[in-house]
Amino acid sequence: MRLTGLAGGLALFGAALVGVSAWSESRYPSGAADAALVSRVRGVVTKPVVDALGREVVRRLRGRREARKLMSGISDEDAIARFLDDRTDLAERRVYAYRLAAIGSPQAIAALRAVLATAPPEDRAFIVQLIGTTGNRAMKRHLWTFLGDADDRVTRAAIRGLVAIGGSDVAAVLADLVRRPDGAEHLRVEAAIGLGEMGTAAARNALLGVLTDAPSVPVAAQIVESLGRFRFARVAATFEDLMARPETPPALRVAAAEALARSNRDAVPFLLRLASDDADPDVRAAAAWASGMHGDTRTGPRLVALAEREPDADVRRRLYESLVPQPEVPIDRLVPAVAAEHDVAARIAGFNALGAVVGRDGTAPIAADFDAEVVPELVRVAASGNSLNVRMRAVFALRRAGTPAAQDALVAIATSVDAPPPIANAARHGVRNHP
Amino acid sequence: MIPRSAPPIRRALAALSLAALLLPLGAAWGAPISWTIAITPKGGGQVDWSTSSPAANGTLDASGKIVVEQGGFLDLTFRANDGYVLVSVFKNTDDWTFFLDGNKHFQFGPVANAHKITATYGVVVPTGAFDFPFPTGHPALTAIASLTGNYTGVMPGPFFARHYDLDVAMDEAGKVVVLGSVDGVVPEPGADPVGGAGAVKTVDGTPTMQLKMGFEGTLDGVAATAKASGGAALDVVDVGGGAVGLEGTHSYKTTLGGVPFSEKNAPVHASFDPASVGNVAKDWTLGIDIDERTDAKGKRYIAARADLVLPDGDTIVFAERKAKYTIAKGYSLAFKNGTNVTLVPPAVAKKVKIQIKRMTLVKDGLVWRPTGGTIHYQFFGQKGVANLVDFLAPG
Repeated sequence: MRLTGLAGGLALFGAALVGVSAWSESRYPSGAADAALVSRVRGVVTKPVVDALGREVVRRLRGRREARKLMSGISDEDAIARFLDDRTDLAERRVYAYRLAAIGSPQAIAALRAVLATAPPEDRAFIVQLIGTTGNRAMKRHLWTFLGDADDRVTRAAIRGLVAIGGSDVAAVLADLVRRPDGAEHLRVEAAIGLGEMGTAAARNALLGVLTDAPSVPVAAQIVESLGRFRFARVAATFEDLMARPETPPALRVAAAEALARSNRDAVPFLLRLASDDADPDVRAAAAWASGMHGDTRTGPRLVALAEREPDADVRRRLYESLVPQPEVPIDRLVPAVAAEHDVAARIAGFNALGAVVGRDGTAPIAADFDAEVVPELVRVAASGNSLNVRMRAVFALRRAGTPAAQDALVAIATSVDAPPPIANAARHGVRNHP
Repeated sequence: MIPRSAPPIRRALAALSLAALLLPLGAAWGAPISWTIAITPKGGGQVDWSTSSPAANGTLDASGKIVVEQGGFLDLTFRANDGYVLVSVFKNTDDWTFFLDGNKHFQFGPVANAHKITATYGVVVPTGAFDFPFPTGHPALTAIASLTGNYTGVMPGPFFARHYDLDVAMDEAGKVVVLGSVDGVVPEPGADPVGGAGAVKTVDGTPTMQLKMGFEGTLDGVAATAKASGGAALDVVDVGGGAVGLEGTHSYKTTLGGVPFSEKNAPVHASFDPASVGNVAKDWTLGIDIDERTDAKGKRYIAARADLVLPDGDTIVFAERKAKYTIAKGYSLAFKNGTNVTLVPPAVAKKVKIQIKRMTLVKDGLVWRPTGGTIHYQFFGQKGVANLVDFLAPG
């Protein structure tokens, strides 16, 4: 009785600790830069608790996804029998391959082999990839052989399946595939994609290694695209070298700049240097766009300064787009820069940047000017025969601003008989409390 | 003639002179004389020939010589090969073209001297308007997806699926901005609306979208932050339960009520309202006009221009440019730096490129019909290659 009471008390204490930890981390994140000493101490106590909770959440999420694929309502024997039942179309029963690969028993493996031996290529590809997604390392040895399959769809599926399982041996084999000069280009590209997907040190080293073999531009572009997924510090030297080398093809330089959109925000200073100094406007535009993909990087003043002196309208458009998530924008310099734009895409991108500033602080002095001068122009553009993309972005600028005048404009566009459905719908979605 | 009234001595001298003149001819009467027949360009046409003496005939399909006896006759008929037309026939430096009969034939003779006949053929330049509409019967032929539009459906949330409304703008370079709303998700006051940015590009022949988003606000009233990035091939597939949508992978870091959790490369699928699927437009149309022009110096050249209507309705006009045509390789045309005339004001569409390689044609009645070639297309950040004739409307 006393033990039960003790357990109950501990459970209650544990629940309270979890609740307090979650509340505390929610209000005062222990990682916050401005956390006070007390918050940091709290972090030492509460963070492990919420981290454990997070791991449990992920475990459950994965479990739920897994359960659907495992067809967990039936026995292993039933799953094998259904998979082998050739009275049913293979397109229907092939989904049981996941369960069989997850079991990995001799009977399950035998069943998989039997079906794979006669399955048409599209089913073979589906099953091979599905086997890999179980992450069952024991299945790796069954997938190697499909890398040499006569049908490219199966080879591609084997690459994806092996990538899902992972391991340094997979990285090594994929590096060989990328390097193989007689290999089909699309399979070399697929192998490079796979290495990027794996994201391990072995995969990164493999990618760095094959890049030095001077592959074709499409393969090299995919290699840099995959390298862009790594933390910038790990790949910075390669990117800097690639951009500095005069023999790097222009298309590859553009691909490299864009690839860093997927890296971490440590890449932003490098990207802004490219956006500022590179001689190729396509590279400057790509770098400006990629820097914006990192969200709030506190680079508003730098981006505006670059826009002020940038001669190419496409590059200015990307700089304005990158300004949207920046909280600190020198509005007094941005307004004249945007007002001087004649290229409609750049001008609307500038209006989106202004709209974002207004949306963050509706009381800013710029808000009144935005309502008086920009909103009517955005309405005109949205209602014009201009490009659908430009008109949609004009609506976005109104939605970002969110001022009463912008809201009225959205209502007007949403109810206008002249607005095509995509524009009217986008406007309606921006009206607060829209139906 | 020598007048009978002339003194005898003069008559004798005249007779001697005539004899001196005729003697060599008389001695050479019936001697073979070689005519040179030049055919240019090689392969442009043929020359059917026949000689009265010796009685012989044949066909020259390249430059050569024909022997005819003095006083004989030489018949030549000029035939252009497929894809060529007879431009001119010269006898030495004299233009003989207009002496040919309706069958492009002339009888030379009686032959007295050697001559050179030059037959010049010209390539028949296929001209006209050629439309390549989107192959609606083979949508898989094109690797282009245009996403601008509205999307409604159900996306998987961390705990349960949620209804979403997303509006997407995609520019000519494939760069995408998404704004929208998700049930139960409220951005922090002053924060950006729910949305993200990304790009679509062709990866391994398939349009693939990468998207990044960040969020600060509440989820069902609970404080939440999220940073996510994901990718999906833009293949609309059955995502289960009879719904269609996109399947891909995503990585995210999120906090919900202070609890952080994250995953890398987790599978994700988002279903579409079937009405939204029509937004993933792929249809585009190319129209090419080819014509012959004469420049200021009177020299003829081929000119080609094109109009490209993109899936989002934007029209790119490629101004007239000089083109080359050969029978064997057909047309190879490159269109870039066109003008997007849908934009107001119009602007150069630097990211839109079309290349036609080895477009061969045959004449079908009065019009030319493409019979082969490939089309390389690049716009919306995507690209692809297709067989040109697959774009032609059947029949």
